[in-house]
Amino acid sequence: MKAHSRDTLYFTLLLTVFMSILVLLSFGYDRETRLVPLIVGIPTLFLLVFQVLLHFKPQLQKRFEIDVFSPASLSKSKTGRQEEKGSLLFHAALIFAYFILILLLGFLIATPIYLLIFFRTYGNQTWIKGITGAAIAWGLLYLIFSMAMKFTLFEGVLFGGRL
Amino acid sequence: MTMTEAIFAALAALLSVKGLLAIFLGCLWGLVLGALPGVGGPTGLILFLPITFGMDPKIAMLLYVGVMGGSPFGGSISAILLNVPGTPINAATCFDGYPMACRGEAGKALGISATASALGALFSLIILVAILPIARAIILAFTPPEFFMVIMFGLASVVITSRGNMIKGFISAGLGIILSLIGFCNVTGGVRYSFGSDYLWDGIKLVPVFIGLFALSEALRLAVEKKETISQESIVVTKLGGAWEGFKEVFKHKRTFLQSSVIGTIIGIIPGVGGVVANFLSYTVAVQTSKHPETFGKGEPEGVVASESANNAKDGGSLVPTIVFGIPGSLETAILLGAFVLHGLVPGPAILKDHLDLVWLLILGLAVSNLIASSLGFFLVRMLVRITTVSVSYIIPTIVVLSFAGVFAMRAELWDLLVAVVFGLFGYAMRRHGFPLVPLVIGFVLGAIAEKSFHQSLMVAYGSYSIFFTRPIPLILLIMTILSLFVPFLLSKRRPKGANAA
Repeated sequence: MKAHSRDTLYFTLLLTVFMSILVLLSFGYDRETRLVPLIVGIPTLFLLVFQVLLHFKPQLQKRFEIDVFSPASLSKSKTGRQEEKGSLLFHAALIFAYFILILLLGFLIATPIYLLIFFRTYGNQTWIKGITGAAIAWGLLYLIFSMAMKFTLFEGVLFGGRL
Repeated sequence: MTMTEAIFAALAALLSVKGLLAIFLGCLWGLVLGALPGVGGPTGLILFLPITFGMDPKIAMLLYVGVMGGSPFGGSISAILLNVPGTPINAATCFDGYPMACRGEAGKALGISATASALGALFSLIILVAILPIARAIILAFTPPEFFMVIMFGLASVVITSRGNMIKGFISAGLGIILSLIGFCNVTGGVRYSFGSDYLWDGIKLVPVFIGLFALSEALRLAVEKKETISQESIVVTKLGGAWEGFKEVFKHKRTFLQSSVIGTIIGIIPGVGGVVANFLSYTVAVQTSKHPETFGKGEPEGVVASESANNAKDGGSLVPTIVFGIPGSLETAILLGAFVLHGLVPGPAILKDHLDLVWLLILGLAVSNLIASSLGFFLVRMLVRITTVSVSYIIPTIVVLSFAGVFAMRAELWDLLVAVVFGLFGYAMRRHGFPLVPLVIGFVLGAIAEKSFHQSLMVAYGSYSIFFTRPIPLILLIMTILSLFVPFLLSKRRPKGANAA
């Protein structure tokens, strides 16, 4: 089994476990509340199990592919698989770190920090360009949301922001 | 006041210096707010409420319809250029608008959006004028069983839109519906899948889900694939930056335009359904009825025509229940009703009798504001398409920061950001492993509404399922739904062997 196919199998298994949990939980609700979740959940779970089985029968799987929407709109990456995984992890971590920074410090401080890190790492920009870009973005954010719209962006729990 | 007197009074107010200035400012405000993800037209209208207090009601109404006309087109700008829908009602525009931008046809896509938006709005306003006398009968014809079957038909269309792998398409749709059922159920009073969390008790909101699935997952894709610009090919630059080609494209797809405008108008008329449903339903019907459904989702101009004409046509439609019954057809018209009250006007049938000039002012003002918004779009297209040639090292952080700010601006809820991040990763994984996102989003949008209509239908019929088979409209829709499920199989049988592999 090819590496990408194996990853797809793991992802499908993950979805199957997730859906199984939801279906099992549904049985605990009263009759009316569980009606629609079960009508939808059980066939979806069945299809997920069927999809897992199809991974081991590629010939059979082809019969269900009609190719109107291509399986994924992702174009072929220029990078290798290992490099791709590393890059994905890095950028996912960066986005998550931006969320944590917003939570702690608020939008107006977290945004320039995130931008500076991004410009320095991905964009390979010089410190001056990075700081300038981050400062411009901060200014725009402040101008649009705080000045023009009088909207209070989250201030961060360290600065009195309430969850 | 006679009809003619009312029209002339409305025209006099509209064509005055103050009137034109008000509508232009409202339109510009709507365009800018519409382009900012998560902000959108309702926010723009709400921000005007305190400003217009004490203002001449006619000028205030022109400011409001200016915002209503400008924001849908504004939303399509960021949907096409960045894959970030400015407002939820532009969500389906991303499916084909953004791939067009990637192909170097951003100007054409913006031209289609500008033209379809303006014409869609004009179409619905003409319908509004025509059906005002019979509007009551139309609204009353759509009871829960009819509405449930309309939704079922929309969901069945998911099968068509996800034909890469039928099973994965069904799975995506199922996941979308299940996710839409999280939280408190308005009909049964039960709470599902909240895992003890107060946040999940209220359900997951569309904006963080959509921004995560499309915008953040796109930012991840751009970062991982190390592309230099969004546009993979040199951009098509003509005198109007491709907008003229877009203008002509709308007339090439007259049938799709008319069909989507009708859907948008009807959905707008039905109170409380809203532009998101109009947007997705018209898109899926366009896929179903197209001669070449295989091109949808890959940058098909017809997809942009369908989405943009429907979301603007919805505005005219939503004025019907607003004016006739005083029942808002959408969030925008709900705020508009609030403005009516603020200015001492009583919404509902009385307004047709006592303030007919104001009704005409709303209709004509909405038409003019749509024309202004689209003209501004044409004027700015050359500048806007340059965004697709900007280095992704600037585009990625712009998408991420705009997405986060937009999600937070929607309802000032910090945990919506976490939902967007989770759905960003989930969306990336779904696309990476061949699970289409379109059915998931359509299932998510229509799932909870379908459940509500389903339970309401059963209540009306004292628990009997026969209500779905014994009334003419639901029965016809049921037959259409079943037939649509077989269409892909029939089409694949008719194709020569090996065609699918091409």
